Amino acid sequence: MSKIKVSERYPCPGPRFKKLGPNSGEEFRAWIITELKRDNNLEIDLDGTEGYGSSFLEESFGGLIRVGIQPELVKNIKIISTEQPDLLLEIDDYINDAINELED
Amino acid sequence: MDTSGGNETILFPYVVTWSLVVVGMIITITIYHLQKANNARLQKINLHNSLVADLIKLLDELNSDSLEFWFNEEFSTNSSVLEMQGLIRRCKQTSMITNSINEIGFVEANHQLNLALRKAITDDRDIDERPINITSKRFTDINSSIIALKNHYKRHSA
Repeated sequence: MSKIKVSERYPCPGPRFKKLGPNSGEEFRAWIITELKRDNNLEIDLDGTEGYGSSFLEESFGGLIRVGIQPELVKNIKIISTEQPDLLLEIDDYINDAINELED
Repeated sequence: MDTSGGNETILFPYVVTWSLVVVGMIITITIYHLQKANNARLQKINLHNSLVADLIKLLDELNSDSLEFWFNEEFSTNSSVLEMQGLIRRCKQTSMITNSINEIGFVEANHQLNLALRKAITDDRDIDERPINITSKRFTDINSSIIALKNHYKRHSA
Protein backbone atom coordinates (compact mmCIF):
# COMPACT_ATOMS: atom_id res chain seq x y z
CA MET A 1 0.00 0.00 0.00
CA SER A 2 1.30 3.47 -0.93
CA LYS A 3 1.05 6.21 1.65
CA ILE A 4 0.77 9.95 1.26
CA LYS A 5 1.43 12.13 4.27
CA VAL A 6 0.07 15.45 3.03
CA SER A 7 1.94 17.56 5.59
CA GLU A 8 5.30 16.36 4.25
CA ARG A 9 4.74 18.15 0.96
CA TYR A 10 1.95 20.59 1.78
CA PRO A 11 2.21 21.70 5.43
CA CYS A 12 -0.01 24.59 4.48
CA PRO A 13 -2.57 23.42 1.87
CA GLY A 14 -3.66 26.26 -0.37
CA PRO A 15 -6.49 27.28 -2.70
CA ARG A 16 -8.42 25.32 -5.33
CA PHE A 17 -6.38 26.14 -8.42
CA LYS A 18 -2.66 26.63 -9.15
CA LYS A 19 -3.42 30.08 -10.56
CA LEU A 20 -4.79 31.19 -7.17
CA GLY A 21 -1.69 30.31 -5.18
CA PRO A 22 0.80 27.65 -4.10
CA ASN A 23 -0.01 24.19 -2.64
CA SER A 24 -3.32 24.04 -4.47
CA GLY A 25 -5.86 21.23 -4.56
CA GLU A 26 -5.13 20.95 -8.26
CA GLU A 27 -1.45 20.16 -7.53
CA PHE A 28 -2.35 17.75 -4.78
CA ARG A 29 -4.74 15.91 -7.11
CA ALA A 30 -1.85 15.43 -9.57
CA TRP A 31 0.21 13.88 -6.76
CA ILE A 32 -2.67 11.51 -5.88
CA ILE A 33 -2.99 10.47 -9.53
CA THR A 34 0.77 9.74 -9.75
CA GLU A 35 0.54 7.57 -6.61
CA LEU A 36 -2.60 5.82 -7.86
CA LYS A 37 -0.81 4.89 -11.06
CA ARG A 38 1.87 3.20 -8.94
CA ASP A 39 -0.47 1.48 -6.52
CA ASN A 40 -4.26 1.15 -6.43
CA ASN A 41 -4.19 0.76 -2.66
CA LEU A 42 -3.49 4.26 -1.48
CA GLU A 43 -3.62 5.71 2.02
CA ILE A 44 -3.75 9.47 2.57
CA ASP A 45 -2.96 10.89 6.00
CA LEU A 46 -4.41 14.39 6.36
CA ASP A 47 -3.07 15.16 9.84
CA GLY A 48 -0.31 17.59 10.66
CA THR A 49 -1.13 20.44 8.27
CA GLU A 50 -2.30 23.97 9.06
CA GLY A 51 -5.79 22.99 7.92
CA TYR A 52 -7.77 22.42 4.73
CA GLY A 53 -10.08 24.71 2.86
CA SER A 54 -13.21 23.16 1.36
CA SER A 55 -12.06 24.17 -2.11
CA PHE A 56 -8.75 22.34 -1.76
CA LEU A 57 -10.61 19.18 -0.72
CA GLU A 58 -13.24 19.47 -3.43
CA GLU A 59 -10.71 20.04 -6.20
CA SER A 60 -8.49 17.22 -4.94
CA PHE A 61 -11.08 14.49 -4.43
CA GLY A 62 -14.12 15.56 -6.45
CA GLY A 63 -11.62 16.53 -9.14
CA LEU A 64 -10.32 12.96 -9.33
CA ILE A 65 -13.74 11.87 -10.60
CA ARG A 66 -13.96 14.79 -13.03
CA VAL A 67 -10.60 14.00 -14.61
CA GLY A 68 -11.72 10.44 -15.24
CA ILE A 69 -10.34 8.34 -12.39
CA GLN A 70 -12.64 5.36 -11.82
CA PRO A 71 -15.07 6.02 -8.91
CA GLU A 72 -14.25 2.59 -7.39
CA LEU A 73 -10.58 3.52 -7.33
CA VAL A 74 -11.29 6.88 -5.69
CA LYS A 75 -13.60 5.32 -3.12
CA ASN A 76 -10.94 2.73 -2.36
CA ILE A 77 -8.52 5.42 -1.13
CA LYS A 78 -8.11 5.10 2.62
CA ILE A 79 -8.22 8.55 4.18
CA ILE A 80 -7.02 9.17 7.72
CA SER A 81 -7.68 12.19 9.92
CA THR A 82 -7.63 11.94 13.68
CA GLU A 83 -7.31 15.70 14.09
CA GLN A 84 -10.37 16.57 12.00
CA PRO A 85 -12.70 13.58 11.57
CA ASP A 86 -15.20 15.93 9.86
CA LEU A 87 -12.84 16.03 6.84
CA LEU A 88 -13.71 12.43 6.01
CA LEU A 89 -17.43 13.25 5.74
CA GLU A 90 -16.71 16.28 3.60
CA ILE A 91 -14.42 14.38 1.20
CA ASP A 92 -17.02 11.63 0.91
CA ASP A 93 -19.64 14.27 0.01
CA TYR A 94 -17.41 15.72 -2.71
CA ILE A 95 -16.68 12.32 -4.23
CA ASN A 96 -20.38 11.39 -4.25
CA ASP A 97 -21.41 14.79 -5.64
CA ALA A 98 -18.87 14.46 -8.46
CA ILE A 99 -20.10 10.93 -9.24
CA ASN A 100 -23.72 12.17 -9.31
CA GLU A 101 -22.78 15.07 -11.60
CA LEU A 102 -21.04 12.64 -13.90
CA GLU A 103 -24.14 10.43 -14.08
CA ASP A 104 -26.54 13.37 -14.73
CA MET B 1 -16.42 -23.18 87.17
CA ASP B 2 -18.55 -21.43 84.59
CA THR B 3 -16.65 -18.53 83.00
CA SER B 4 -18.83 -18.10 79.87
CA GLY B 5 -20.79 -15.19 81.38
CA GLY B 6 -17.53 -13.39 82.08
CA ASN B 7 -16.21 -13.98 78.56
CA GLU B 8 -19.42 -12.64 77.08
CA THR B 9 -19.09 -9.53 79.22
CA ILE B 10 -15.52 -9.02 77.98
CA LEU B 11 -16.33 -9.94 74.33
CA PHE B 12 -19.35 -7.65 73.94
CA PRO B 13 -17.50 -4.32 74.16
CA TYR B 14 -14.87 -5.66 71.73
CA VAL B 15 -17.55 -6.62 69.20
CA VAL B 16 -19.18 -3.21 69.51
CA THR B 17 -15.85 -1.40 69.23
CA TRP B 18 -14.68 -3.34 66.18
CA SER B 19 -18.11 -3.06 64.56
CA LEU B 20 -17.96 0.71 64.98
CA VAL B 21 -14.41 0.76 63.60
CA VAL B 22 -15.49 -1.25 60.52
CA VAL B 23 -18.62 0.89 59.99
CA GLY B 24 -16.48 4.01 60.38
CA MET B 25 -13.99 2.72 57.84
CA ILE B 26 -16.76 1.88 55.37
CA ILE B 27 -18.26 5.35 55.79
CA THR B 28 -14.83 7.01 55.38
CA ILE B 29 -13.99 4.99 52.27
CA THR B 30 -17.43 5.69 50.77
CA ILE B 31 -17.10 9.44 51.44
CA TYR B 32 -13.59 9.40 49.98
CA HIS B 33 -14.78 7.72 46.78
CA LEU B 34 -17.82 10.01 46.47
CA GLN B 35 -15.60 13.05 47.00
CA LYS B 36 -13.09 11.75 44.47
CA ALA B 37 -15.82 11.14 41.89
CA ASN B 38 -17.29 14.57 42.58
CA ASN B 39 -13.89 16.26 42.21
CA ALA B 40 -13.25 14.42 38.94
CA ARG B 41 -16.67 15.53 37.68
CA LEU B 42 -16.01 19.14 38.72
CA GLN B 43 -12.65 19.03 36.95
CA LYS B 44 -14.37 17.74 33.81
CA ILE B 45 -17.00 20.48 34.04
CA ASN B 46 -14.29 23.15 34.48
CA LEU B 47 -12.33 21.82 31.53
CA HIS B 48 -15.50 21.62 29.41
CA ASN B 49 -16.49 25.20 30.29
CA SER B 50 -12.99 26.50 29.68
CA LEU B 51 -12.90 24.88 26.22
CA VAL B 52 -16.39 26.16 25.42
CA ALA B 53 -15.21 29.68 26.35
CA ASP B 54 -12.21 29.26 23.99
CA LEU B 55 -14.51 27.96 21.26
CA ILE B 56 -16.95 30.86 21.56
CA LYS B 57 -14.09 33.39 21.46
CA LEU B 58 -12.66 31.71 18.37
CA LEU B 59 -16.07 31.53 16.66
CA ASP B 60 -16.71 35.23 17.34
CA GLU B 61 -13.36 36.14 15.77
CA LEU B 62 -13.98 33.81 12.87
CA ASN B 63 -17.43 35.31 12.36
CA SER B 64 -16.17 38.90 12.15
CA ASP B 65 -13.09 38.08 10.07
CA SER B 66 -14.88 35.84 7.59
CA LEU B 67 -17.67 38.38 7.05
CA GLU B 68 -15.07 41.08 6.56
CA PHE B 69 -13.13 38.87 4.14
CA TRP B 70 -16.14 37.99 1.99
CA PHE B 71 -18.26 41.11 2.20
CA ASN B 72 -16.10 44.13 3.01
CA GLU B 73 -12.69 43.97 1.42
CA GLU B 74 -11.66 44.71 -2.11
CA PHE B 75 -10.35 41.73 -4.05
CA SER B 76 -6.58 41.23 -4.17
CA THR B 77 -5.19 37.85 -5.21
CA ASN B 78 -2.18 37.77 -2.89
CA SER B 79 -3.90 39.02 0.22
CA SER B 80 -6.91 36.79 -0.41
CA VAL B 81 -4.68 33.69 -0.28
CA LEU B 82 -3.03 34.81 2.96
CA GLU B 83 -6.27 35.87 4.60
CA MET B 84 -8.00 32.67 3.54
CA GLN B 85 -5.13 30.70 5.06
CA GLY B 86 -5.79 32.42 8.38
CA LEU B 87 -9.48 31.53 8.19
CA ILE B 88 -8.65 27.90 7.31
CA ARG B 89 -6.25 27.66 10.26
CA ARG B 90 -8.94 28.89 12.62
CA CYS B 91 -11.51 26.46 11.18
CA LYS B 92 -9.06 23.69 12.04
CA GLN B 93 -8.61 25.09 15.56
CA THR B 94 -12.40 25.04 15.89
CA SER B 95 -12.49 21.34 14.93
CA MET B 96 -9.72 20.52 17.39
CA ILE B 97 -11.44 22.34 20.25
CA THR B 98 -14.76 20.62 19.51
CA ASN B 99 -12.93 17.26 19.43
CA SER B 100 -11.51 17.96 22.89
CA ILE B 101 -14.98 18.94 24.16
CA ASN B 102 -16.49 15.78 22.67
CA GLU B 103 -13.85 13.66 24.42
CA ILE B 104 -14.87 15.06 27.82
CA GLY B 105 -18.26 13.46 27.25
CA PHE B 106 -20.97 16.03 28.08
CA VAL B 107 -21.71 16.71 24.40
CA GLU B 108 -22.17 14.26 21.57
CA ALA B 109 -19.93 14.77 18.54
CA ASN B 110 -21.62 16.33 15.51
CA HIS B 111 -19.02 16.54 12.73
CA GLN B 112 -21.56 18.02 10.32
CA LEU B 113 -21.37 21.30 12.26
CA ASN B 114 -17.61 21.68 11.62
CA LEU B 115 -18.10 20.64 8.04
CA ALA B 116 -20.82 23.28 7.51
CA LEU B 117 -18.61 25.98 9.04
CA ARG B 118 -15.62 25.12 6.84
CA LYS B 119 -17.77 24.99 3.71
CA ALA B 120 -19.44 28.32 4.47
CA ILE B 121 -16.13 30.11 5.08
CA THR B 122 -13.49 28.45 2.90
CA ASP B 123 -15.25 27.47 -0.33
CA ASP B 124 -13.49 29.81 -2.78
CA ARG B 125 -15.77 29.33 -5.81
CA ASP B 126 -16.82 32.99 -5.81
CA ILE B 127 -13.53 34.43 -4.56
CA ASP B 128 -13.16 36.49 -7.75
CA GLU B 129 -16.43 38.23 -6.93
CA ARG B 130 -15.29 39.62 -3.58
CA PRO B 131 -16.72 41.68 -1.98
CA ILE B 132 -19.88 39.68 -2.54
CA ASN B 133 -23.36 40.96 -1.92
CA ILE B 134 -24.67 40.80 1.62
CA THR B 135 -27.83 39.13 0.30
CA SER B 136 -25.74 36.13 -0.83
CA LYS B 137 -26.43 32.70 0.65
CA ARG B 138 -22.90 32.69 2.08
CA PHE B 139 -23.87 35.39 4.59
CA THR B 140 -26.63 33.18 5.99
CA ASP B 141 -24.44 30.06 5.84
CA ILE B 142 -21.59 31.64 7.81
CA ASN B 143 -23.88 33.03 10.49
CA SER B 144 -26.05 29.93 10.81
CA SER B 145 -23.09 27.52 10.99
CA ILE B 146 -21.55 29.60 13.78
CA ILE B 147 -24.84 29.84 15.66
CA ALA B 148 -25.34 26.07 15.30
CA LEU B 149 -21.91 25.38 16.84
CA LYS B 150 -22.59 27.81 19.69
CA ASN B 151 -25.96 26.18 20.36
CA HIS B 152 -24.44 22.70 20.36
CA TYR B 153 -21.46 23.52 22.59
CA LYS B 154 -22.81 25.26 25.67
CA ARG B 155 -21.50 25.71 29.20
CA HIS B 156 -22.25 22.86 31.58
CA SER B 157 -23.53 23.63 35.09
CA ALA B 158 -22.39 21.65 38.17
